[in-house]
Amino acid sequence: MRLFVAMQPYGILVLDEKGSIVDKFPFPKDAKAISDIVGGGSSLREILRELISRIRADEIVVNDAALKGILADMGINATLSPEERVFLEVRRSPLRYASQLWGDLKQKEYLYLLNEIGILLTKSKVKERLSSLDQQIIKAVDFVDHSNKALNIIAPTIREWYSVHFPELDELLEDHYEFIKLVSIEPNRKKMREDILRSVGFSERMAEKIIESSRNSMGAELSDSDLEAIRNIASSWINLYEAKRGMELYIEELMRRAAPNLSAVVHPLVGARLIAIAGSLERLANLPASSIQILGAHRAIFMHLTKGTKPPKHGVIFQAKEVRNSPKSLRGKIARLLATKIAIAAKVDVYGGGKYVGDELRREIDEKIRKYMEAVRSEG
Amino acid sequence: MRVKEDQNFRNVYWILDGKKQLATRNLTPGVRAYDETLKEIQGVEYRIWNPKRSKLAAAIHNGLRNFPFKRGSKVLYLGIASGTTASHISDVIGESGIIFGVEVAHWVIRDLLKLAEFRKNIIPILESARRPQNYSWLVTEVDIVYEDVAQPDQVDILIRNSDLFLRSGGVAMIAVKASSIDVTLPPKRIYRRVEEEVLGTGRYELLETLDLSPYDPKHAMIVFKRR
Ligand SMILES: C[S@@+](CC[C@H](N)C(=O)[O-])C[C@H]1O[C@@H](n2cnc3c(N)ncnc32)[C@H](O)[C@@H]1O
Repeated sequence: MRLFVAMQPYGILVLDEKGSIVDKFPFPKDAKAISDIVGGGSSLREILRELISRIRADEIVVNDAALKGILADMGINATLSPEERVFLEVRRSPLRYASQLWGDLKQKEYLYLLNEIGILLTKSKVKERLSSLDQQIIKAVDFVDHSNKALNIIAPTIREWYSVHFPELDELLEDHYEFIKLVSIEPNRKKMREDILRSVGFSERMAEKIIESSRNSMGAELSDSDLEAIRNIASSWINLYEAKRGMELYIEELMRRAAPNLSAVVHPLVGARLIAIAGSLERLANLPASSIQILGAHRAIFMHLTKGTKPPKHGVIFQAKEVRNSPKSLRGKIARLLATKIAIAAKVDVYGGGKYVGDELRREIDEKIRKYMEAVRSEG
Repeated sequence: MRVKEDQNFRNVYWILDGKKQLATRNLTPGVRAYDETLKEIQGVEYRIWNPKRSKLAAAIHNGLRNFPFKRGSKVLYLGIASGTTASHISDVIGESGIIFGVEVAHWVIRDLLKLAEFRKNIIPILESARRPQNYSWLVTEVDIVYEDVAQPDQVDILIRNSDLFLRSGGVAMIAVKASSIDVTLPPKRIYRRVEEEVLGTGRYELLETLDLSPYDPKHAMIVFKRR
């Protein structure tokens, strides 16, 4: 016999070809309980196991992908086919079938229940996806950090190497990106022309300067194959740089979705770093402001000890432009202010159910900073 | 300021004060669904329905002939987003109606959740409309399938969902965005292709195809009836 197993909001029905109920398992008449069962807890599995042990069928047809999955886990092969006539019939007369499990039911009562189930299920899924979103953010931040390290290690090598051919360029172009971009496009200093330089993005003045020094350069001649070798690594460097930039933009986009409030308070990239260090958005939201303020300092200490970078005074929060761009005497104060607002923003993002207070928090920050600055100025 | 119900469509209103603005009667007086304008006329609160924000409103402005939404209608809405259009449909169908709203983007559906908290006739469903086998347990048979997903396979999505959920005699409406189906073809050719694809199943009749410009250039609303 072919039997049809239909999951419905009010329970699970086992039906025969004619649509008569052969067996059934009513869900509790409560939206929370229903969404817990359907939302992937283990109880759905138990219910199915129980039902299946009671019926005999040559073929089982189900109306829902989750049912098929659970049955497959139990070693039972079921056909997923919500378009079967029997299922159409069940969907056509929800009240008639529901009342066989729950007793008399009013249309309005049923619709309200669906509304509540929809809300509860969606909320828990949003939460789930958000937490997977912040894991994506963390991976992306990792990529950016590692790329930065690689870029910074390789850039001086390229510059030094290229200086054999065109030493004056090292002085002219401090920015790694500009320098290497040029080399990746035209490594031969004798072939540098104004239109090429302009297309790389240099101003007219800069282009003239570069051409002038290329003509008078004291650098050695290099063979085409030497230049090609340098061009190759320069191009790879540029590719990695651009991948990193792309990733930064992607992080900003993810952050605006996962943490719109936090993203309004600090630059999304700084916010993303905070999430990465805390381990997740939720963990960040559970930290007190005082911890947020020094988040990331541990790594700087480590870098200081192993790589000889400057000793850190502060954590990631000091990368925020509000802190970097303000007078030294105020930085601690502003960092504390930001940490407080970040703590609030992260909490709203995690527990606020979609509330947006970002603009308000932003205004409060700007106002306080203005007051701090005025006070500093009046002290002279 | 005067208000009159549309000649053909019940529960759809025109507010006349110099200009002619489309509106629906607010199911939840005092509460906005998004940032629409509220107007109170003779103790009744109306919500202005902007054709630039909603393709269904644009279609009505452009002379839509088939508006299947009535008190008590059951609707499956694919690509409901934050619910701008759905909130007006919610006004029209009232408390005895229901909208099953499928949306795949979780950051968009957050706003819909807020809407559904006080508009009890909206049921949010966070799923892809490409996989009705994930939500058919929750959805009942419906009178109308309304689709606005702007995806290249949107016709296929419409047919699969309508086959499953639309009652015989029910109406399937699809907002077609020409550029998301094929940027290289002229829009008219794309609309024709959409019509043919749906008619090719043999299960639907074409009711009308309506260009949505100037409100939504290169968009059309195409309306079918299930046999
Ligand atoms: C043009 S917007 C809809 C606007 C909305 N209909 C209104 O008028 O208020 C398209 C929506 O379809 C959603 N979407 C795209 N693909 C989808 C899919 N496969 N399933 C469900 N929703 C989808 C998008 O996330 C987006 O929110």
